[in-house]
Amino acid sequence: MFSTLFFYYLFIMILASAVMMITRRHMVHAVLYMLLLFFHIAGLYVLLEAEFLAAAQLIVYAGAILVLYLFVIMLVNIKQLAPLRQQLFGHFPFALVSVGLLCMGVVGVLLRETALKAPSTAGEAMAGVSNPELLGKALFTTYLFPFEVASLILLVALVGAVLIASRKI
Amino acid sequence: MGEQLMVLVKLLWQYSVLQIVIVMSFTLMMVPLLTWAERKVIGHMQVRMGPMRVGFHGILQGIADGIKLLLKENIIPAGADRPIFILAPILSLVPALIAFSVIPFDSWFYITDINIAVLYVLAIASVGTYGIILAGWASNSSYALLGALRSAAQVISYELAIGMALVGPLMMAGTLSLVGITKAQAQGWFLPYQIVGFVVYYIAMLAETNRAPFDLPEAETELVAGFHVEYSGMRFAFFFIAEYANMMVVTAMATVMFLGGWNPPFQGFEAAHFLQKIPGIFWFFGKMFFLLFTFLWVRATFPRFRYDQLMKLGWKVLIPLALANIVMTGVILAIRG
Repeated sequence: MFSTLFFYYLFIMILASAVMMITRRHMVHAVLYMLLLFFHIAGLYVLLEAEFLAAAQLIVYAGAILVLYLFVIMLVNIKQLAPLRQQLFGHFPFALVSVGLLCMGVVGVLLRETALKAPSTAGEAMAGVSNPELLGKALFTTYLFPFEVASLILLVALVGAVLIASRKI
Repeated sequence: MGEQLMVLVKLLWQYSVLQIVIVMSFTLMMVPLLTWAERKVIGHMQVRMGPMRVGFHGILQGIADGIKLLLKENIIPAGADRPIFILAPILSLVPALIAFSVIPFDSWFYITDINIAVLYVLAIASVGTYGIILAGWASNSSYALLGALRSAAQVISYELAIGMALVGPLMMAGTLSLVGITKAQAQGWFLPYQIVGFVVYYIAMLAETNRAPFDLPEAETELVAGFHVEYSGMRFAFFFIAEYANMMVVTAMATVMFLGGWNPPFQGFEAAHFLQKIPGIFWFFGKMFFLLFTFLWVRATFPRFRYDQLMKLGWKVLIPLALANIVMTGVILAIRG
């Protein structure tokens, strides 16, 4: 009962803050709505008993990435970006097509997945074992290869960023 | 009547309401005392008296200041972004207060024990940064914005060092729950094994709370007061309370992670077993207050860092040290099995 109510609260807040975020003209306000959005997504993870994921969501997205966004927005002169906004509407058909394709993909996956198995929480998978422990074991045994590939991609991005920045200085 | 009261108290205790009320009121009461202690300690270190007028040796000074700030006019600058200007002090105070919800003061006294407590504290602390950044930006003033940008860069850099310094004790305890970590230290504190981690954590926590010698975001001599220069009255007091509450959170974390939480010192020695008779809550607060005292001590001793020195220390000294500490801890734990 309580978790259903909580879910609907999160559902409404996630949608509302996402819509508010993309419609704000002021970028700092948009980032604040994004912060609200991340908090409620973390709430969704807590509801699914994936506490580690919720904490990681807050530390990585809310704590690090969004702060960097704010940092950049404060340093950028927003008035210079006005011409860019004019060009945006030219891309409208492409945006419509790609959003449509994405929606079809998501709906297709959802239809197939729910038909295959009943929804379950992360809590059901582990009896008595704490969530971070289970996640750690899975990451470093079963999913070691994808995990290492992901970290390699991040490293490449980091080196690339340094390379691009060092050329300008 | 008396029985009904007992039932009510038990119920409130069971649902953590009583603990929340006690911890919150204690924290908010500690803030005026800490500001008084800060002025008094630094005063004596500089061969001055410090506050003397209000109450015995000025002990009510913090409360007098609080009442003054409460009654002052709240000024919002004309060019400020109104909603964010109002939101920023709240965003800075609330995370500082809710971080206390996972800190175990004694084996029987904590609000809640969750299996990701350490990550929770880190996540909450990182959200507290928004208050500072947004305050600086919303004020629409160059000094405030400079302070905010400095703070953002500083906190992001030192958050990494804090997180990595905490990994050592985590590996030794094998759990992320703060109660579990304290219990893992029942046979001995982690401090002797994690001395590098503790030093890194200590320096980084000074920077994380914007305390001297890392108080560049609010360097009075160059930025007037940094991010909160446009704030007055109660909103200014919010930042003030948040800073002191944050100091209490980081020292409480240091106490739990390195200094054994509610465990007495010298657990290994027969002769020191009488120390176990003293309730754990005294040990906890004793360690925490000693760490808070060293905050003031450091402030009275060291001059402020230059900005490039600050960044160099964070990225080139503390983070490599913390990483080396993780590797060493891992190797030793693997050898000992």
